[in-house]
Amino acid sequence: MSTVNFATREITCKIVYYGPGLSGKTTNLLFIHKKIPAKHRSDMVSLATDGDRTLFFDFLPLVTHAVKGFTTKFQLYTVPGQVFYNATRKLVLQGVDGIVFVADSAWNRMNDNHESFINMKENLEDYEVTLEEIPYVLQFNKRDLPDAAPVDYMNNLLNREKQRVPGFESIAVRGTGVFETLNAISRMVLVKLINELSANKEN
Amino acid sequence: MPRHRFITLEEQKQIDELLRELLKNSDAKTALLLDQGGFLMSVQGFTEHLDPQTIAVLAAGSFATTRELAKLIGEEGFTVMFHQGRRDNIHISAVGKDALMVIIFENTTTIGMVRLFARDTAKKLDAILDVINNRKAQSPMGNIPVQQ
Repeated sequence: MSTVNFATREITCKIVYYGPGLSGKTTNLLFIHKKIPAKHRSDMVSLATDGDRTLFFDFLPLVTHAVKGFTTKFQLYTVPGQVFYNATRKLVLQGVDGIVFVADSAWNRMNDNHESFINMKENLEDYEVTLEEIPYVLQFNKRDLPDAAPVDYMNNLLNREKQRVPGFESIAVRGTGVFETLNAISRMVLVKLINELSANKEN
Repeated sequence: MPRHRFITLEEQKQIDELLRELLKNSDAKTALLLDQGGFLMSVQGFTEHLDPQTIAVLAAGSFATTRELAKLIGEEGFTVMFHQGRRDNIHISAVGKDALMVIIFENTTTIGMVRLFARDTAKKLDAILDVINNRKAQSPMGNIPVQQ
């Protein structure tokens, strides 16, 4: 749920990076954290296990001036990808304004990608949100793998909703495609917010 | 629950004032109001060397975890969480259905004092949040251009 605070002139939106375990969600956030100047971000919080697997979530707040007269804050979260952490995954989705679905391009992860996508839809349904209502993009990560599945195939597998969404090829460890994805989703979230606010004003 | 939430200048002032009053009465150090998703609505009191946004996100995560724990033992949810440190302590309590109040206090005051005033403040905050959360989305903003 985005919040517009007229006292502090701030708009806050929540973006969640979703996807199967080890697909590169945390790697996306780490790269963003590394590249964005400190004045535009705070420290990144990672609740991880000893083995660096996300246990609860990663959290990275960003500050932009994308909307005139307002400071726009994006709160980036990742979910734990491992199947048995569904309770925490669902908690992180609460109040989400936009989603980046990070898919692993390895052939042997296609089932995991598909299952995670279905799981995301189910978890959203529990909050009475559908994919038609919420801005989201796909990121096809690890495009440098020798056995990377063709993008057309992955689109066919994951981009099957009524409205096809943008898909971005990425190699998150090198930063390739990371900001393209973030720019796209943040823009989609803001455009939706502004359209809804404008529509409400006219009514 | 609406898709967007609007906080007016007047509401923000009232929230800030209630938290400041709580700090004065309970002799606590810092008070934060956040929603259950970790969005920070106000922070008052001593904030030097503190990262209120991160505290808010972690407190919300921690509270969400206890809510799930409560369900596992047949409870609907817990309303208060308390973490005791050597010098500083954290009291987290529910404000209505959707918000949380985090109070950081030193051993110069007592948990009883904090709990007493937290309960009273929570009721008043809940009334304000009720108005905010039930407000029909209205844009006083008009068409705002998204900058490149």
